[in-house]
This record gives sequence, C-alpha cells and structure tokens, in this order.
Amino acid sequence: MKNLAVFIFAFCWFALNAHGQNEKFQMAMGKAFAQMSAAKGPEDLKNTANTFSRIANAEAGEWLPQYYAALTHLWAGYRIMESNMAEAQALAKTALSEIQAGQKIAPSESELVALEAFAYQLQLLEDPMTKGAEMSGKIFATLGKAESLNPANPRVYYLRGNFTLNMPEFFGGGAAKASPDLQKAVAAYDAFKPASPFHPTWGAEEAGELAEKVK
Amino acid sequence: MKKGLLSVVFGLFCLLAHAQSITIKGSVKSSTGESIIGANIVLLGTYDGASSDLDGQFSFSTEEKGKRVLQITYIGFDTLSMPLDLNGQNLEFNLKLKETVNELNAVTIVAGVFEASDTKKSVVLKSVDIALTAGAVADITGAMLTLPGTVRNQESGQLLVRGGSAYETRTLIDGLYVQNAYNSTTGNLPARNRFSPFMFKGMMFSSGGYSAEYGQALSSALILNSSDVATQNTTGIQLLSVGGGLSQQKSWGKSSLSASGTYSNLSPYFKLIKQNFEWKQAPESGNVELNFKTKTSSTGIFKFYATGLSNGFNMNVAVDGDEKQKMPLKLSGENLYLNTSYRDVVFKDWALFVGSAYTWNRDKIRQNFELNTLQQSAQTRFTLTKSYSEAVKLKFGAEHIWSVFDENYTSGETFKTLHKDNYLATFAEADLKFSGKWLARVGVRAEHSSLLGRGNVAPRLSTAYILGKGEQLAFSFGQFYQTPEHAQMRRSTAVGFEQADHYILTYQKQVEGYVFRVEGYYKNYHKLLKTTAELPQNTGYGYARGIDLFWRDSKSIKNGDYYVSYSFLDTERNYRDFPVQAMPYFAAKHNFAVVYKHWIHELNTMLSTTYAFQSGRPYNDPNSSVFNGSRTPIFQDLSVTLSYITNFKDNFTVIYLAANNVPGFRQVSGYRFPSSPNAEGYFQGSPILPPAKRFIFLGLIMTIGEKFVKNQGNNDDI
Repeated sequence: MKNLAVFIFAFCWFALNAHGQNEKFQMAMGKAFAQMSAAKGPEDLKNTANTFSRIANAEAGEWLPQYYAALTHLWAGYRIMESNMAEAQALAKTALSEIQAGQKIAPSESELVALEAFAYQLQLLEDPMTKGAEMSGKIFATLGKAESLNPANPRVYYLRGNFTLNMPEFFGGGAAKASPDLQKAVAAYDAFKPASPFHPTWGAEEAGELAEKVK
Repeated sequence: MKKGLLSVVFGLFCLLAHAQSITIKGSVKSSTGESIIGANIVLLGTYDGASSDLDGQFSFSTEEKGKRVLQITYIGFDTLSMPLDLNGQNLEFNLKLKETVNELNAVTIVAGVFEASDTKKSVVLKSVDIALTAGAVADITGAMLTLPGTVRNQESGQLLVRGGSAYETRTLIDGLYVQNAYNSTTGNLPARNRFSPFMFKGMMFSSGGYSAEYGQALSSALILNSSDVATQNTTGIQLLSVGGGLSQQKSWGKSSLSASGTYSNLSPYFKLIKQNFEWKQAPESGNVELNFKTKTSSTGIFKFYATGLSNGFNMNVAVDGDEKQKMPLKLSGENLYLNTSYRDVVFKDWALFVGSAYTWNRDKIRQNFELNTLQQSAQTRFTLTKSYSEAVKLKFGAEHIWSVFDENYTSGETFKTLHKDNYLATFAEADLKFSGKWLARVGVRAEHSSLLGRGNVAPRLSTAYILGKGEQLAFSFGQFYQTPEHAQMRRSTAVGFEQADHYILTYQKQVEGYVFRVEGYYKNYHKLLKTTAELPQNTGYGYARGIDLFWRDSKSIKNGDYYVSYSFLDTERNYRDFPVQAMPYFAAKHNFAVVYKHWIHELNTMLSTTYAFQSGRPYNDPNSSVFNGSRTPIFQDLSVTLSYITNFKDNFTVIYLAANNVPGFRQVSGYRFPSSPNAEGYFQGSPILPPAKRFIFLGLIMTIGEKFVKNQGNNDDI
C-alpha cells in the first residue's frame, strides 16, 4: 500500500510537473509573447516585463525570460524618458540587473551583451553632455564584444548603426558613419534564423527603415 | 482491463489533487498610502503571480501547497518577502512597500552647501556648468560668483562670501588646503583661480556652516575633488587669443599620467584693445602641471599632482592715490604646489584618507617701495570613516600644517616680518540618521597654533529633515576660528584666533529639472583683530545676516537651462582700522545674477550668457565725516560665451568666443584717494575701473587621440 502511494505520487508528479515543465514554459512564454505584442504603452510593457520575470523566477536555468524582462523594461524606459527621466533610469538599472542574471545562465550569449549596450544607451541619454564621452566608449566596446561572440547577430549592427546615427557629427556620428552598420544589419536580419520561436528576432523592421533613411 | 481501470483511477486522483487551487489577492500601496500600479507579485519558484492593476489590486490562483514565499517587487521600492503557509484557504493581503533610499531621496546636509558633481544626481550644478558659465572664462571663482551669497569684486577677482573678506574663504583640493588659491596680483588687477575646472569631478561651495573636517576659514570653504584615473590617451592643443597650451595624457587602464604646459601673454591683445591701465609690460604667465593617478586596489587610489606657475606684469600706477604722480608698479610671482593623497578601505570597513600638500610661493612687488613675500607651507592629514550601521557613521582625523610667512618691506628702511607656525588640528564627526527622513551631523574640531600660542575648540551641528518628495528643511550651526592675516600681525603675534558663529536655515525643493532654494543666515563675528591701538588686539566684532535665493530650471525651455540667484546681505563690522562699526567694502546689499545656457542644435553651438546686477559697495570718502558712508555706483555686467563644437580632421574641437561686459557698463569697484588733500582742502578721488571696458577672448581647444567612435571587431567597411 505504501508502495502504491509512492507510485501514485511519482506518477502524478511526473504527469503534471516533470513532463509538463517544458510545456509549462512554452505556454507561459507564448502567453507572455502575446502580452508583449499587444502592449500599447509603457504600463503594458512593464506588466509584460513582470510576466517575464515571473517566468524567470520559475525557470532558473533559462536566460530568455531574463532577456525579455530586460528588453521590455528598456522599451518602457525609452518611451517614458521624455516625461520621466528618473523612472527611465531606474528601468535601465533594473534591466541591467536582469541582463546580469541572464548572463549567469548564458555567459557568452551575444544577444544579452547587445542588450547590455542598449541599456547603456538609455543611461547615456540621461545626460549626454557629461556622460557622452565615457558612455559612448562603453557602448561601442560592448557591441564589439557582442559582435565577436556572434558576428551573425543582426541586433549588434542595428544597435550600433542606430547609436552612431543619433550621435552628433562632431563626435564622429551621423548618417554617413551609420550607413555601413545599418546596411549590414539588413543583410544580417535576412540571413538570421532564430534558434527557437522564443529567441530574439526584433529590430528587423526598424533597421530596414533606418537603412533606407541613411542611404 | 485491470490496468486500464487503474490508469483511470490514477488519472482522476491526479486531477482531483491538481484541481484544488486557491486564490491569493490583495492590494499594494506605498508607505504614504498611494496605490502602486504594476508591482510584481510572485510566489517564489513557481509560475504563479500577477501584476497589481490601476487600483493597486492583484489576484491570482495557485495550486501550490505548504510553505512558500510571496515576493513583491517594484522599481524604486524595497522588495518585500512574505513567508506563507498555503493550506487550501484563500488568502488576502494589504501590502505596503517602503521607498528605497537612494541618492535622490536620501536625506543629506544641504544647509550652506552648493555642490557641483558629474557623478552624483542630487546636486544643483554639474562640473561642466562651472566650465561653461559666461563671464567666468573657465575660472572656478568666476563661476561661483553667480551663486547666491557671493559678492562681485572686479578689483580682486576673489571669492567674497556673505560679508566675509577674501581671506575668510579657503580653497581645498582633496581635503588639503591650498595656500595661495589665486595667482599673484596687485594694483587692483583681478586674480584668477590657479586651478582649471576641468581637473575636478566635483566641487562643493560651502557658504557657511561647513563640517568639522575643515577649519581656518571664518566664512566659506571651496572644496574641490580631483578626477580619478583617466581612461583615454589624448593630446590636447589650446590656442588662445592670449596664449596657448599643450597637454599629453597617457592611460594604462589602472594608472594615468598627464602633463601640460600653458603660456599666456596679453601684450598682443592690449595692442588691439584700448586699456584703462597704463601697461609697461602686459601680464604674462607660464604654467606647468603634472598629474599621476593609480588604482592601488579595487578600492584604493593614489594621486599626485604638481603645478608650478610664474607670472608677472608692470604698469604705471598712481603713487599714494595721487593720479598726477604715476610710477611703474611691477609684480612677479612664483608658485609651486604639490598635492599627494591616498585613499583606500582598511581593516575591512574603515575608509582611510592620507594626504600631504606643500606650497612655496614668492611674490615681489616694486614701486617706490620693495615688497618681497615668501610663503611656505607643508600639510599632512589623515581621516578615517566608518559606517557602523545605516544609522551611524563616524569620521575623525587630524592634520598638521607647518608654515612660514617671511615678508620684507623696504621703503627707506626695511621692515621684516617672520612668522613660523605649527598648526595642529583634530576633529571628530558623527552622522546620525534618526529615520529615513531625519539626519544630524554632530562634530567638534580642536585646533592649536604655535604662532599664537593658543588653541580653540569649535562645535558644529547640521541637521536636515525631509518634508516631502524632494523637499528638505535644514539647519546648521557652527563656530569657526581663523588665525588672523599675517599682514595684520606685523607688530605683534600675541593675539588670538578670530571667531565667527554661523546659524543657517535652509529650505530646498528639488524635482526633476527644477531646484528652488531659500536660505536665511545670521553670522556673529567676535575677536576680530583691531589695529587702531599700538598693538593689534582681538577687540573687533561684527555681524552679517541675509537671505539667499536660488532657482534653477533646466526643463521648461527645450535645449535651454537657466538659473537665477539673488542675495540680500546686511553686514557691519568694527575691525582692523575701522574707527566705528560700518559696512565693509567687500559687501553689497543686493546681488542678482541670471545664468542662461542654450544649446543651438543646428549650429552645434552652446550659447551661455550671464547677467549680473549688484548694488553699490561701500567706500570711505575722506571728504565725508561718515566712515565708509559712500557707495559705488550700481554694478552691472552682461557676458556672453559661444562655444562651437566641431570635428576637425576627426579630432574633437571646441572653438569659443567669450566677451565680458558686452553693453560696456561702467564698472566702478571703488575710489582711490590721495593721502593728503589738495590746496582747497579737498581729497580728489579717482575711480577704480577694470583694466578694460570689455574683455574679449577667442580660443580653440582640440583633443587629438582616441576617438569616441572606434572600429570594433571586424567591422572593417567603415
């Protein structure tokens, strides 16, 4: 009888948890993706980030939920920085800690490193006059690292092109300097095959638009 | 058959067990009772959780059983963790989150302090604001003079604070005194601060009530903190309308070394622009600087800074105030300043600072007299800081300054003054945080001077209380002692310290992009030196009281940023050779300044303008029976600086054009009177004017070296 109880317990546990864990992750990620694509404003994005960080909490071995929690926090941050720079900076800081948590799981993931640069860019925007010189060096170095980890990562070129485009010409920015990276980004997006349906794919459309603009 | 049945039974059993879910719901509020929207509520280690909605409400179901932890996170608030015992019952919580203490909402001492920093967020100004202030021409003192509590004085160029003379303000670099903060000057030619604002990562201008860490300043302390290890290899070229400079900086990551030299000569400029002064030899100066910094560990840093300056000029100046009788007045000055410091964390959690500074300064002035002054000082200092808890921080330290003042005045016969001093001081200070909103800093400083043969004990107290978001009320009290000026002790050093008591009340509100600040103060001076008797005595006294207002708005105007400061000052003294209590010449009743900066995006140009207004300052008219009863005319100034930023052959370049007193206001800073009246018994005075009506300055600064954009990895098609 005792054996039976153990068996029942093991069976149930297997049926509903061990077996279901991966499915649970897939389902939760699927739902979170739906929430992300339906997100309209920064509040929705922050709620999506909450959802991803809850998945991260349940799945200590997955870096993707941390990645998306950070990404949605950054998107929210970029949207609110005009009206509330202090909160945008708090979001950048949170995103960086999420990226770090992701990097503990996947130390040499190019996507996480590229996202790190995206977070630094938000930090730079707090005060370009005083932070510009130091932070732009850091951004280029970080993107360089992401590129060496995976030269096929299109987000590296998109982010670098976008950053260079927005940088004042006297610092060596501008359309002409940004163009090669943006063209490269378009090509890299075309060739890019995500490793799973949940791996990052964002940025293709924006890169295409910017590449057109600087042509 | 039996197997199939078993499976069904198992299946049902599992489903039954699984279906028993409970609801966890509740609300999330801040400690002030506002609903928090978007807080993340999660049952740790599970997928279960929710975000709080627009009313701060949340609800989710879970099938978990037993002991779990519910965690609530929200950006800007401390994370809340709550152990739960899930036993099949629905749960409801009303949760309160506490705001995280950070730089922006932490309680800090604000009374009497204006801080400029690039790294801290809570400050009123940035270092770059100092460098770009129009009318200052990158002179630290010039920029500080746009802040409330200061008085403009064209004839000296030094920092006068709240009814105090220039001597009553001390400059410190990395906690160490600067013996001669200004370049040598005489004959009403304004001095410049020796140090470039670009050297510092932070500046604190304390207009009173400062910490027990510092002494020997009755009025004010200008505390400069040098930058850390440089990260770039650069070569800098400076071409100025009055000279030029070269600098080289090398970085090895953990260490950096930089060397620079500048030379300036105003003679070509004076040939172009008409001068009020009769120059025989235009001001000329040469300066070399060396800076070495190295990180000794993850927390330790060693800094060495050396600077040498030689300057001089020669001009025709009225002898004894008599305009008809002019003679060349010649000055030459040489200065060497060394500053070495080391800081690190020792014994696990003690922050240690050890530093030493050395100054050698020689001035020679020649007219119908000869004045040779040699000043030397050597300082050593240490401080130790320890945080015992969130609530208690202790700092203490000691310093020793050896100094020599050697002056020889020859006019027929020679008068020699030789003062040697061994000054010893020790201080202790505690920061006590009674709550997240209330902080007090209690300190005491004890000093002893061998020259005066006596000591003093000075208590200091500052406290700040947070009234609301970004809103603080602060109060400060302190006693301050200073050794009298050597020049006043020529006849005797058997005197005591001069003393001032400060009482300061401050209200400050700082919300993103705006700062409003109002400060009221009262200062009581006693034991000031009187020199009207045969020997100097500490019988002088006086007071200063006033209100300082400051408003900064960097938000309302796109690409624009301005601040306004106004000071009201009421002060009188009876000291030195004053026959009665009177308002001193270094005070003005009303002082108003507006600084506006605008970034013109299309032109890559920063426009900076400063307008200043000051009511007349007292001067003594020997024709009048009232001492210091006359006032100079109103002082006005409008200065403009244009900085054009460009890229010359891929090298970051700034070209700037600065003009002081654009409208050409007549700026009289006082009058000179002859010592004897003319035949009609009248003293014919003449106004003290700046060297020229306007000063125009053109400069180019180019930084060659590491580009901000760098090709990384294999991005080879750029």
